[in-house]
Amino acid sequence: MSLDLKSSKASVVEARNLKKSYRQGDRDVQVLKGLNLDIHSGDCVALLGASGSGKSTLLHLIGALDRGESGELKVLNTNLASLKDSQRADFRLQNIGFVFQFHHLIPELTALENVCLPAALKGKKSEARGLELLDWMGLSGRVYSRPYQMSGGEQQRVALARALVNDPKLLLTDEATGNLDRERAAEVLEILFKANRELGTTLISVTHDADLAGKYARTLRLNDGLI
Amino acid sequence: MKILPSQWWKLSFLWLFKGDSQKSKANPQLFQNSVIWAALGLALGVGALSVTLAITSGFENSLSRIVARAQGDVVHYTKWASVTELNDTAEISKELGIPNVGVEYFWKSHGLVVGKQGGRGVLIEGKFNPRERNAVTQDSPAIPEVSIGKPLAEYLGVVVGDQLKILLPGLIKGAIPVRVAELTSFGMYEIDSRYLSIDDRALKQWLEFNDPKSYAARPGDAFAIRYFLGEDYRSNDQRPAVEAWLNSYYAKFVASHPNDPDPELMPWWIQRKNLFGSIDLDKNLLTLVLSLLVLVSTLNVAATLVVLFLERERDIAIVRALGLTRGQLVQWTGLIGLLIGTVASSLGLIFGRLMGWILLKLPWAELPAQVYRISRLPLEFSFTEQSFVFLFGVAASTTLALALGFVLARKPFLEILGYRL
Repeated sequence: MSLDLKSSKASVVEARNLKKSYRQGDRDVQVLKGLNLDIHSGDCVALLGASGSGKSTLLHLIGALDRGESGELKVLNTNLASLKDSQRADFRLQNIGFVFQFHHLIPELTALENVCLPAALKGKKSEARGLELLDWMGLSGRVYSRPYQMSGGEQQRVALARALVNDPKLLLTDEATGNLDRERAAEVLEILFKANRELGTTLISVTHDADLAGKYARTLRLNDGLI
Repeated sequence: MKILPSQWWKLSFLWLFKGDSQKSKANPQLFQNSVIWAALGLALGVGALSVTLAITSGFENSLSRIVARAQGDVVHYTKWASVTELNDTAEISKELGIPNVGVEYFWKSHGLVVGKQGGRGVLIEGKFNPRERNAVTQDSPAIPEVSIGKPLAEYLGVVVGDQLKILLPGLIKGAIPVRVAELTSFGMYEIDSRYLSIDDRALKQWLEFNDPKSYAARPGDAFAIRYFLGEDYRSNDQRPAVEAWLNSYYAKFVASHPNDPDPELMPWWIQRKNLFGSIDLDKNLLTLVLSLLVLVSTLNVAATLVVLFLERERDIAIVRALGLTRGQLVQWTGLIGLLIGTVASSLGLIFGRLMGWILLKLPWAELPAQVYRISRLPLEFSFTEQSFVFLFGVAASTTLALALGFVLARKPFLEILGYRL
């Protein structure tokens, strides 16, 4: 079963018969069972599904964090299966912004240093861009704060700024608001949509919250390893 | 391979020396001390290796100087014995570029010396071209003069001016009276108590005058030549230079003396092969044992790094998810090992010097001077050996850290971030 979001825009994600299984004890659990998917440039997509439906797995495959078992997955016209580990790392660095459920900031670094880290990995100086993004996130007063000095919402916004610092073509979020209260979640969500709208970044968010998913332009429901 | 960014190094520094600012508040001893203590342990191991090598080298070099001063840096035994021709070899040695080279011609024979208190078997060297230290005078040329070591003189109960008798069984019948002209002390008991040096010219004159029959059977002309290359050649580090000199000398000698195709050349370490062999053995064993100590210290550093990497596993996984490659991760761990190894080994060399300085202040540093003319513990920090010690510490630390890096790079970072795989 496939869902093709018909569009004249360039294809960003193209999955054909994508399969992935995990070893659980002495048996294999098939998580993705031949999934087909097309997402285009500038799309704002929610991946909705129950726990264990494979939505995080799909996000990791799209984000070149993990490898598919079989089938074809092209992201930004790159066949991810053909990339070596170092090329996948480089691909992530150049093209993908990732926001996890937990902010995963590095505690010893300031907000600005955390934001600039992916750019530094690219060998770029990005302090100005980092400051701009923090300002954009409403965190201009928290530039030199360390993660433990900030609230959960602020930490997640720093993580979002970090995901955007390399101007990724694709922004992936995994339950990015799952740990936040309603008000903070709304703030973060608004910034995600703003990034999609104003920066033209393709946004794919994993959520199990149908209300939240409803706020996205497109909703893809994962059920039993298929869309 | 991409170079790691400066933020990463700042982070490494914080992790290694300051720890997690939140955790540090709760437990300030958490990290910083373990890394510093592990590095200090490595430094102490390197220091122990450094000072041990300095002591054994000091001992070996001191003895080599004593042996070489007494018996030459190189002795050339030749089956072909024309002193006139041998003189040419002195010219050869000069041509080989060693300034102020000393040359001594001699024959050697087992003999017996008898003094007031008794006799002893000795090695008698007839010096063909005696050096000044033999102090042969021409006052009574009829009685040859000899120089003997102080321990031998004490044993025989003689002083300068006393007469002795020497016997050269198989060469000369009867005893030859000699006068003690000089008491020598090279500082090595086995030389000072067993050697007697005689002026060959005076011996010949005495034999010719007093015992013409024996004169015909006298020891021949010099059959050995001894080279004194100078103090610069009398250390373990200089063995290759002496060997190079020997090879060059050998080649020239053989080319110019076809009737003596296989001359025997003995450098100072071969002349006392047993002594230097046993010192080398001791040195190698001590080096082996202390190298193991350094390795154990390095394992301690590795164990600390394992704890560091485990504690920072999540942070490392985040950066890997952002785009840090496996190669960069291995590069990072290797550089941390290199950094710790360099700092600890440098500190270890300083510790070695310090330990040496302290050792010399202690009463143990006093040595029995009657056995060797070394009254205090000799310490010589050879550049080559100390470089080896430094590089060993650095290499061990870097290699183990690299190995850890390879293990770390294979860990599934998504799982560490809380996702099942």
